[in-house]
Parts: sequence; structure tokens; C-alpha cells
Amino acid sequence: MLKSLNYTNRLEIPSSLIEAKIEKIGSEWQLNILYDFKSLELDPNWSVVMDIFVPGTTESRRYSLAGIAITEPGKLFDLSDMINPADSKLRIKVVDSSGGPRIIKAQIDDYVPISDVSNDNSRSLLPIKPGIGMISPWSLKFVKGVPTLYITDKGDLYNSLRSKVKAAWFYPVIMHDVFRQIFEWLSLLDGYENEKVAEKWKKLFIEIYGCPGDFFETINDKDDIEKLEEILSQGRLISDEVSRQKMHVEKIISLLEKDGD
Amino acid sequence: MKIQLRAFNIIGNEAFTEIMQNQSDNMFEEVSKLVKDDSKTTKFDAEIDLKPFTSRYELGAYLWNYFHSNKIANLNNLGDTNLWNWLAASWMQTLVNADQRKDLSQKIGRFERWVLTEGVRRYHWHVVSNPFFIYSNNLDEPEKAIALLATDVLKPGDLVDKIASNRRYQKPPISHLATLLYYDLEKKQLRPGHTSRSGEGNQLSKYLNQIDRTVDFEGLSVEDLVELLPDNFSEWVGYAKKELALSAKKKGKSAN
Repeated sequence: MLKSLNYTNRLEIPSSLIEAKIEKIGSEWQLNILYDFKSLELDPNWSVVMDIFVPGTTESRRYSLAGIAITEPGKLFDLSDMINPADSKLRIKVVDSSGGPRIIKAQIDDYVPISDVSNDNSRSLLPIKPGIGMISPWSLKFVKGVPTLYITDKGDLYNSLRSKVKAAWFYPVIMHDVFRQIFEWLSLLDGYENEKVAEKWKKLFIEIYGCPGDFFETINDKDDIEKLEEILSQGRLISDEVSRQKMHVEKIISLLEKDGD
Repeated sequence: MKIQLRAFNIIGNEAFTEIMQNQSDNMFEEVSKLVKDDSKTTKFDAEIDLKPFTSRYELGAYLWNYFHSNKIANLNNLGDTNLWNWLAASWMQTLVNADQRKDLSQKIGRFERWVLTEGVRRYHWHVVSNPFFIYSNNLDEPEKAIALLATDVLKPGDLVDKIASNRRYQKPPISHLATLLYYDLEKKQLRPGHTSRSGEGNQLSKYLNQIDRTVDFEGLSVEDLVELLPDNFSEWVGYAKKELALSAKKKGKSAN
């Protein structure tokens, strides 16, 4: 069991005291941040440092911030030369830098800035977004023709579950079913709101996950009941193939074994 | 030999992952075909010379100079796994040939050494991208991170595994601390016992992890960090202090 010790009366900074947004303006990536920690009654002489990092990668930048509060219009940071800036998270520390070993007096870790952009790489084929007030832990929705995985924001689950590090079990548990739902959605529709994304998914199912090459062309020639049966049956095969290739069962077993150590 | 720079597309990336997971007898042929397959790759308007490298430092420096002296249109960003995996796939045969060991399975190893896998446990295993990332993260003085770049491309070793697995340890001041503790600048090699004796690399990583919530160690000077290490590091702290004294002496001389 993970235990967290706190011998230095370190405060956890509530995320509600921070507003941070990542935007892509032309080819430039910018982080705008404002915060106000005055209510935490911290020593105004302590320094504030911010680490911008991309989980699961080597990317990490460190900046000094100007004091206990930054108010409107905030402070801008240029992230253009960062790797995967859209996936950045923040760690902010208030540090007693008056001499000695820089004791952390208050901090917040894994803060996710608001971002309406995602990198145009393989991961954006399935964007992951917070489901505001969602009752279910996760849900797949099709937003303007793009399959999008929503994770509820309740209890900070979005931040916890989207992290493949914090919740290594989450993706092996759900992903086969996410793929099955996407496959059924693709097969049942006659036309697509986003042809480009639909074609990418079809190609993925055919070339990687064993879907017959002419499946999407021939499925509409069948009568409704036969069509539905074939889609459901092929969807189950796809689901199994995703689990087999991604070794989902093996990963879950391995995680459970580690947990039992 | 110069070839056109490409990146895998999602299909190519999945296919490469599968090849590396299976590692069949035809692996090199399959990879060689895949990296040139127009339907599974995206081409860039640039060429890259995939020279043979054994040194992680030289590979990191070469890649950094390549990406920063060539303006490559349409290249998303340097964190694109599809780019790194295509580079690893294209370079594989050359890197394997440059490694003097006889056992092919040792040279290839687990698939995550070739397929960039996000997550703290495996991201740093990638034999092509990791030297580049470490070099980039220590760009002001890459030689101060030599402990993390001193080994062979296909045999990065335990110190890389324990220290470079954490994004905050692979840049200053921790990368410099690791060099002062575990690298013999005179003999130009890692000190004996850097993975086995008391205070070795894994213990450094664990110690920093223990104090991470309490001490902002990334903001400390390397001299302060050396003082912060507990007694079980005494052997290595001795080496580090010697190196720091030598460096101060050299600086003093050059200032005079």
C-alpha cells in the first residue's frame, strides 16, 4: 500500500486556485497560467517553481514563477520547442529558498492544463477528453465523426485514469470494447461525418485487426438481420484480436501479480 | 548510405510493433521491406545518413545536429513515436552489425528497445531516441551527462536504466551528479561497482524519489546535492568531491 509521509507540514495546493491553458496559435504553442495562493497564507518570500512535463516521455521544463500570485492576464510560456506540448502537465512547488536544502512548503502535481488541441499523431485517432459530470466512469462518443473516449471528471478520475502510468490497468481492461464499439459504429453507418477519420479506422481494422478487406463494401448489400449479425460477430472477433495483439490479458495478470508482491 | 527520411503511419507502426514482438527468423527482411513501404510510411523532404554508431554520446550528438540543422517540413514534433520507430527500424541492421557481440538475441533484446513505448518503465529503453533525448536535455554541457551516454548504443547498461528512466534525473543537476559520482573522467569510463556497491545508481534513484516530496532537489547546485547524500554514498561522494575540486582548480587557472 502506498503511504505518503509529510513531516514538513507541506500543503497540497487545491487545483481550483490555478487556471492554465495550452493553446496553439499558428505554429506556436503557448501556456497561459494564472494562480492565487494568497489564501494558503504562505510566506511571500518563498519562491514558486513550475515544472512542465509530458507524462511517459523524457520531456520536462522548469520555470521560476513570480511570487505567490499571478493575476489577469496571466503569464505566457512558449512551449513551441517542446516535444508533444499538447499533452503537458504541471507540477508547481512553493519552495523555501532562504538557504539550506530548498524545502517544499506547498505543491500540486499532475495538474492538467485546459487544452482544446491534440497532437496530430497516432494517439489523436482516439482523443481522450474529460466527461464533465458523467455518471459512468468512461464512455465512447462520436463527436463530429471522431470516436472520442470520455472519462468522468468526478473525483479527479479523468486525471488519474488517462495516465497510463497511474492507471496501467485501465486501458487493457476497456480497450477491446472501445475498438468493438468503434467497429460497430463504422459498420452500421451509411455515410460518415468525418470521412478521413473513418477511412483511417477502417484501414486499421482491415490491415491490423483481421477484418476482411471487402467487409465495409459488402456489408450494406445484406438484409438488415444478416447485416447486424455479421457486424456483431465481426466486432467480437476484432475485440478478441485487439486483446490478443495488445496482450491485454497478460498485462492485467502481470499487474495483479505485481500488486500481490 | 543516405536514405529518404520517413515516419511510420499508424498502420506501419502497428506492423513494426508486431514484427518486433514476434522476432521471427525473417525479421530483418520484414523490417527492411516495411520501412520502404509507401502505404505504411510518410515521406519527408529530407535525407538522413544512417551511419554505424556504437557510442550513445555520438549517436545523440549526431541526431541532435541532424534535426537542428535540417528544417524538415511537415515533421510534427520530435516526440512522434512513429518517427522514432521508423528510425529504429531503418537503423537496426547497421547498429546490430556495428555491435561486436556475437549473440543476435542479446543485441536485439526486448521489442521495447526498438518500439518507443510510452511510460516510465520502458520509454528510456528505446536505443535510438534515448541518446538523443539525453543529449538534448543536457544541451548546454552534454559532457556533464556523460555517465548516461558513456555506454554502447545496444548495451546501455544499468545506470541508464536506473537514472535515465526518470525525466528529472536525466537532466542537470542530477545528470551531472551521476557523472561526478559514477564516471571516471580521467579513465573515461564508468567506475567499477557503479551498479553493485553501496550507494550505486539504483540507490541514488531511490533516495531522490524518497526526498522528492520534501526537497526541491532540482533547484539545488550539484555541490549542494553532493552534501545532501547520506552516508551509504560516502565512497562515491569522495570521488565527486575530488572531481569538483579538480574542476574548480582548472577554472581558477583559466581565470588567471
